Amino acid sequence: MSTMHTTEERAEEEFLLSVEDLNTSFFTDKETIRAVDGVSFGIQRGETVGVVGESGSGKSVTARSIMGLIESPGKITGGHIKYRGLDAVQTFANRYSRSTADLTKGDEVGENDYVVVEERDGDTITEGYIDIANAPENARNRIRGSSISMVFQDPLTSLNPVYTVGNQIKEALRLHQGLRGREATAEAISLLEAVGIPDAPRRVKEYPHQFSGGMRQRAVIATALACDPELLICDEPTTALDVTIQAQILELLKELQDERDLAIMFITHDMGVVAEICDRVNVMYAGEFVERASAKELFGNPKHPYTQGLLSSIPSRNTEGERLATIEGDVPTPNEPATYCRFAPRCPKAFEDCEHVHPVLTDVNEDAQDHEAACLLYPEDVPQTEAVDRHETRNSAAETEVSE
Amino acid sequence: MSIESQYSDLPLVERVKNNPRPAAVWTGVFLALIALEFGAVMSTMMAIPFHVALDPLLGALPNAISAPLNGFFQFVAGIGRALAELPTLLDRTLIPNQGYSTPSGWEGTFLGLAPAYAWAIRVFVVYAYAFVVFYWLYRGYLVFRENYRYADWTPTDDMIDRFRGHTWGRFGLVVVFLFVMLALFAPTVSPTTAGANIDNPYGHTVQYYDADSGTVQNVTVGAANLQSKSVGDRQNFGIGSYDKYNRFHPFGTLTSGKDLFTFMAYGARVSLFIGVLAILISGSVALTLAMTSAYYKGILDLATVLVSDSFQAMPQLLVLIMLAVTLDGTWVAQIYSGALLLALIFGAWGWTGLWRAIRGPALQTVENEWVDAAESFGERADVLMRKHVAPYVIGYLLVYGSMNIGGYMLATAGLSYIGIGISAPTPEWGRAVNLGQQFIISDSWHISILPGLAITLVVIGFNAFGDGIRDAIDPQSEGAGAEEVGATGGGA
Repeated sequence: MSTMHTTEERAEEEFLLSVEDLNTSFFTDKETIRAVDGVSFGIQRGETVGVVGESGSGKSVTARSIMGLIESPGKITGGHIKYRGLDAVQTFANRYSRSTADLTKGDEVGENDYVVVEERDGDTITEGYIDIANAPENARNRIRGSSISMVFQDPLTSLNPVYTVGNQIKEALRLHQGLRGREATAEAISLLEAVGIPDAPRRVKEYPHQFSGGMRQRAVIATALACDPELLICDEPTTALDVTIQAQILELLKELQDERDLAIMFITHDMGVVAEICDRVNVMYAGEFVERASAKELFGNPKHPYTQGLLSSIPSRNTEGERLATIEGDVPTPNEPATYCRFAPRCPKAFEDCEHVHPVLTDVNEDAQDHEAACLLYPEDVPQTEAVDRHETRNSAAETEVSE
Repeated sequence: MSIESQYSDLPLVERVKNNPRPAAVWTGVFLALIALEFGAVMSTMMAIPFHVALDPLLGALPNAISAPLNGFFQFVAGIGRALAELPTLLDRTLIPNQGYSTPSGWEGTFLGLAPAYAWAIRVFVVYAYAFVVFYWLYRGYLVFRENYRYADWTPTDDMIDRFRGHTWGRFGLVVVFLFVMLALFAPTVSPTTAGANIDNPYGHTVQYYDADSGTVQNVTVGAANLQSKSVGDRQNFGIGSYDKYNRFHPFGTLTSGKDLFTFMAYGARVSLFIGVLAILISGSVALTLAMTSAYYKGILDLATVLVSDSFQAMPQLLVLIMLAVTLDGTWVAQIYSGALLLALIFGAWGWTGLWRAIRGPALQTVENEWVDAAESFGERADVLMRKHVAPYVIGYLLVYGSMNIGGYMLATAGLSYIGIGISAPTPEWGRAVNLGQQFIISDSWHISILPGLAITLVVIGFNAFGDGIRDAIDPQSEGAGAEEVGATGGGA
């Protein structure tokens, strides 16, 4: 067990952002909705990680948890969001020394510590992370924008109609790069040019309503880039746009990623977009990740019945002239800890154990490289009962860990 | 348009330097207009009772600090007084209306005209000046908009255009403007002054021509007032009348023989002071609370609801009467004959309604994605609310605020009518209504009716102005909506 732990940690150190067992719940009068229920994943620099799923599966809540934008009655109830941007860790360790645990000096990570220093070279910190999930609001506010930026779904509403586009980009520039006046305007113009807006010097003083949908989304991306982030979270940035503009925006994001070595977390429900832009994909269902693989593997060889259902419901992939397959029913509201498979009621391959055993992410088979599915059918190269047993033991192991 | 794009990223000063002519012309005319009235501006400043606030403060401080501080204040006050002495265009002494009638004509009045004409000319000049200044300020905005503004178009342009096409709102603006100017220029537009006619009538004299002896005599204003009482059918000095001492009374006299127009002009100051101060207090409290409760929501919002409900649950009139009675004789109640106290009470209760009115819009605006977007790039909470939420709420605040001002004035008049608002000698319209009510079916009907009509008109004016603002800030009311409101307004 202990050796496994270290290898896991090794792997995770390469990630710019690693999310570990994130739980975000909304506490309403009627029930507690576990919108994000034990989600773990990581994003490396220069990589695009997709999160796909139906509406209401918890994609946006995951993104907002990372941004620290969860509002009452929602709350992050558990887990870690470790951000490893070195600049941010260095500034944070200086600024919030009281909440910093310095492992090199033998500190233990205490309850209120959210900055962890893991390695030092002399006095300079070379390795460490900030745990966004446990950071207080003022610290989160410093990370927002400067290290992690977000592009929202609807460019129509994510720009304030009463300020010029330039004004809004300059607001971000002022906050994060301390630019003002003419300098800021010049930088705003060059950002608009960077996102491919023609005639930027004129456009910079126009209002959002004078922009078309695609240009507005470009302006939103420019605003996000104004903070010079290392991680960009895109929450369905192409959903409100038509297909040609979609393609342009995706192209733009790729270019920007190459130029700036951005890590991108890309949230969408559009499988076509995923195929276009993502390196690795996480499929989300009812607050949990049900399958994760590289984009190529996922599309070529989907394992989870839900992923298979999603892919077979894309019109262009099914040209045989048959009726388009659909997944019957809706995403259930995850309002209790799962002791069963949440997809079981809609699953064509469900069997009895699905009602009693909660599946966890498992390698789909022995030789699988980085392809996991949370389904009792896997690993597929062991007998069914053994597979179910594995899920069950890992579940109870997780439970004891929690109760500790 | 083409000129503008050249200035795309220059600061305003640079933009003005590049094209100084329109700005220079505008500024020159504006400075000339201000210079005409500079002394009056300063004397208005000096009329503010600074000592009331400063004396307790200075008394509380140790002598070592308060002595030099007091010296400094005296020095500033000295400069202020000197500047206040500067002659001004609209000074009443430039166009005097007080004189006496000799067999050969009027003596002492402007160009020997009858006091009524001299007074009318002065009022006309005052309002003409005020309108010109107001227009010039608007003109200044247009100059800025056409020559120097960074953007070709802003949402404000549309608001102004919509307001300009809003008949009912324009009517309101005119009424409000007339009222505010009446208050601002009270010493000039009044046929006599409050100091001479109301506050200290026995300390001032007035000249008159004694026909029996054929000489010019002096009489104290107090004694003259005794001869000019309006007390019903027995003796009355009504609208546009002269009394026995050749004094002109445009709106007649009060039961005490004092001039009603002077009383109303100075009364307008009190009403305006209370209305504006109360709305500033209640408006800023409401806005601050709306912003914080919309940002933090949950328990804070609930707490604000509870507090505001508790305030509203108190019977306001009884609380007002109680406070007015208990605080009677304390220093708060003495400032401006209780006007400050009333303004504070109205402010302390007024925020509840205003907050309720803007809470919904604030909560709604916070939900917009641009607020999240601004938050996601790390905007501080206070800047976030001020920049991205407040502009959407301030419009509502203007609408309700302008309507509430009318309400506060009405309440002030009502309280003064029942004798617990503004105490004598400070003029207040409600007190005039009260004074004249026993003569309302006699010749002296003007004592009650004129102030009553004036209150009604001003309140309607503020409400109409509020209506106009509401339609102006609502982009959906463009065109037909404004026309309809205008039509009903004209009919009503």
